Amino acid sequence: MLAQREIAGIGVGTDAADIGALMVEPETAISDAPVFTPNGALLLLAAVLLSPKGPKSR
Amino acid sequence: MKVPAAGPSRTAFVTAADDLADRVLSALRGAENAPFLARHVEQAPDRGAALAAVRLVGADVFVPHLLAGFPLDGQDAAAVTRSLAVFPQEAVIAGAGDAGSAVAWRDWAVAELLTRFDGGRPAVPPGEEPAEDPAATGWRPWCARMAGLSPLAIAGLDGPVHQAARCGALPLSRGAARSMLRRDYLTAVRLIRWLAWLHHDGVPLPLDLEAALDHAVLLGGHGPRTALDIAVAERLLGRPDDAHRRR
Repeated sequence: MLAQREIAGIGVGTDAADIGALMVEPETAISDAPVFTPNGALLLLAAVLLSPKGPKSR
Repeated sequence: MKVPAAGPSRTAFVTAADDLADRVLSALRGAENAPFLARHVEQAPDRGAALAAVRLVGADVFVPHLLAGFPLDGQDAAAVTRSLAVFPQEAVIAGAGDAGSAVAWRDWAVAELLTRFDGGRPAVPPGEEPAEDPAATGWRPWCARMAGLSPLAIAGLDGPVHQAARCGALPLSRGAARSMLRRDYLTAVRLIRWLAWLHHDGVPLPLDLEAALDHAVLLGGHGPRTALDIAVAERLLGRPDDAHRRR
């Protein structure tokens, strides 16, 4: 039976305090504004810079 | 799931709590049979973390019993009792700082439901106030405290915390809207769960709860513990718990 088994290796004091801290999680910090994923701005810029030049008009 | 501070045991406990919440959600949907709690602890690679998870999930381990008529097996009751014995309330409160009364009220809910399903003496409510008057402390800190008490927002459980919620429909609605604007969907879902409990209790609400829940689910309904909060809220609103997936 579960109740009769010894639970080895539990540091009750520290671990119980950790449980207490996790039980009363504070509000999360405010996050940044959402961005499109993937953020393609740098990729597009690199593609423009690395692309071959267009044919010269006569 | 957010971890307040880095630490191996905290990370292990949060992971174990997510695993347990997933198991509870499966039981609520009829995919588990008794004794699912005892089996979860027995089969866990870290049994201490599994018992800590029972403490963290708290009264929510009884969601299948309250909402789906799931029978409480004696071994499941023993697992919950064991978690309370291994991590006693005094030691847990020591880590909660000035929010120790929230731990006491969460433990009261566990003891109350354990007594109801397993027999024995009724649980004694903590002497401390569940949450100060929002008019005195401000609705923002009051909502943060109520979010921490969200496992108590379930049909079939009533007490001083629930009475405080009945008197705070407007602050809870403000808190839910504010949390969504801050993109703190974990808190938003917990407050929406309280609002769903108020709706179930017949309290008129100044917020379109269905739209708020859909919004929170769409943007922040990730993680098993949040999914469990959402499932409870949807049942309290009287809609199937996978309604959002069909939209």
